[in-house]
Amino acid sequence: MNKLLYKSRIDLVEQIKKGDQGAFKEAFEIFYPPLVNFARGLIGNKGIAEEQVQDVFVALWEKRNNLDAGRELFPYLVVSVRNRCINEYNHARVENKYRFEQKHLSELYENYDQLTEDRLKNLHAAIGNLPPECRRVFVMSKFDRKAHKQIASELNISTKTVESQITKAMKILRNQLKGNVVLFLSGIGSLLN
Amino acid sequence: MENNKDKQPEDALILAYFKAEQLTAGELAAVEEWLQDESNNVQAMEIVQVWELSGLASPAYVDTGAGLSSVLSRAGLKSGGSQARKSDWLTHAIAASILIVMACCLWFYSRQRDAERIINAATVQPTLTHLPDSSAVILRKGSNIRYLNSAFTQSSHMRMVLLEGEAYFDVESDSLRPFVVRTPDTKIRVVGTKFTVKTTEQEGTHVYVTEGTVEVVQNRDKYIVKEGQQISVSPGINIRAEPLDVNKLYWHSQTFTFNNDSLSYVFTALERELNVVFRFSDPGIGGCKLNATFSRQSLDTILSVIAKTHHLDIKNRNGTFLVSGKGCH
Repeated sequence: MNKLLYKSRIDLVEQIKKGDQGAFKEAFEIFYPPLVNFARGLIGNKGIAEEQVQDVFVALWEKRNNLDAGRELFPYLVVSVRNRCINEYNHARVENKYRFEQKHLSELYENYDQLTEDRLKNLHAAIGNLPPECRRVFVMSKFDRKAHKQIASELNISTKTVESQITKAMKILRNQLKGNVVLFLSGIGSLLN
Repeated sequence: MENNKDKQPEDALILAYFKAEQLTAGELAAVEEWLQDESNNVQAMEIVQVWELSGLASPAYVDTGAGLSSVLSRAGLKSGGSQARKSDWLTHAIAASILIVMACCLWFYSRQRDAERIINAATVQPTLTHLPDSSAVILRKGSNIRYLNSAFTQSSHMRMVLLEGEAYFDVESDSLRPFVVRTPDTKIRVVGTKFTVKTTEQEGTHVYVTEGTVEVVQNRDKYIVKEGQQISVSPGINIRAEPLDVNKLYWHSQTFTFNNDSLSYVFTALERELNVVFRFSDPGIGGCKLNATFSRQSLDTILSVIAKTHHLDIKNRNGTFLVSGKGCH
């Protein structure tokens, strides 16, 4: 039950490209849950999140011939899901609007190519290993989607303390991913245009 | 806010800005000023990206089975197991022996690394026990729970226990590691709450929620059961949450609460929870109403209160209680 996704399967891309339905199902079973959670973190609605991720998998199968066999599957999926979610903002179907359309963040079109499954596993472990108070605040903020003010009033601490705990968590997590995520645009692109 | 040389706002503030949380005018100005600088945008992206990606590590429950069948039908594929590949018997035999060897190794390895814990209830009294995450469990007699030590370590993503029989759970809140109770037919998933699960072969699984909210999953169906509700997941019945009958929790609460309930309900509850039998001289007695709470009271005390309230006579004849008097109509 605790098997979490991130076992490396570089051959999955190759098998899916060949039309192996078993490999497609396996990829779905491994990556669907984290991707739904990722999408949900972006758009705050589980139903729409599931819809977006399912669309990506349908497109993955339909466009399997275009897959680049030398790459890992997961980064492709992450980028595709993110792009779909950003499109969702533009269609204004979401409850909590972020300011992605502002500034240069609309171009936040990362190269997730360096983002291996192992590294995501490390990120997960890093969240688990945050100091208890820090983890509590981070989890309430990220996974329970609570605003800083709300966390402050629930835990009976100041908003400043909430902010410093989140900053602390972000520092640790950013360190964890440092060098692993190349931010500049490269040719990876999304599966869905 | 910390002001260093380049006046970089805290990560938390930058995040709050992009999440469109309420900021003071000063905070807003600070972030926007900082973002004016092209080079800072790279950092802002990194912060947002780490924030976004951490969502991948969320332990929230996702129904993969339902998602897969929807995707397969839309992609024009058949559901069912993975495609079997052609191979001769020798390949199968070799594969099988490798699997057996691997399974043995795994078994020995897991025996050492990941012991299974079994907690059996005492034979008479309900047993209070604590799980490694300090969640409290009260087991009804004859019941047991099982779990792997690894399910309660820092690296676990789900605190899972298997239940046979009936147990009350007071779960320590931990949104990074949901708490899941598995019964033969159902999965009950919570973050931090108080609830009771009863499972029998004949009647399926019953969940009673006294605090918080739980998610009950059976096959591909999900039901949300809120505080003050209960649900029965049994074959052949219409599954839906209904008002909680607190008297079904007497075995651990030691409390009966009757709010203008009929005596036929009261006596049924007493029979069920205390293993006694009642007989009535007049079926109308069942129509009388009772308003009372009995906490840790003996059966004798409870019966004498009922007798006094409705001028009844209750006598114990060889284990069967005879209730006589006038009924209420």
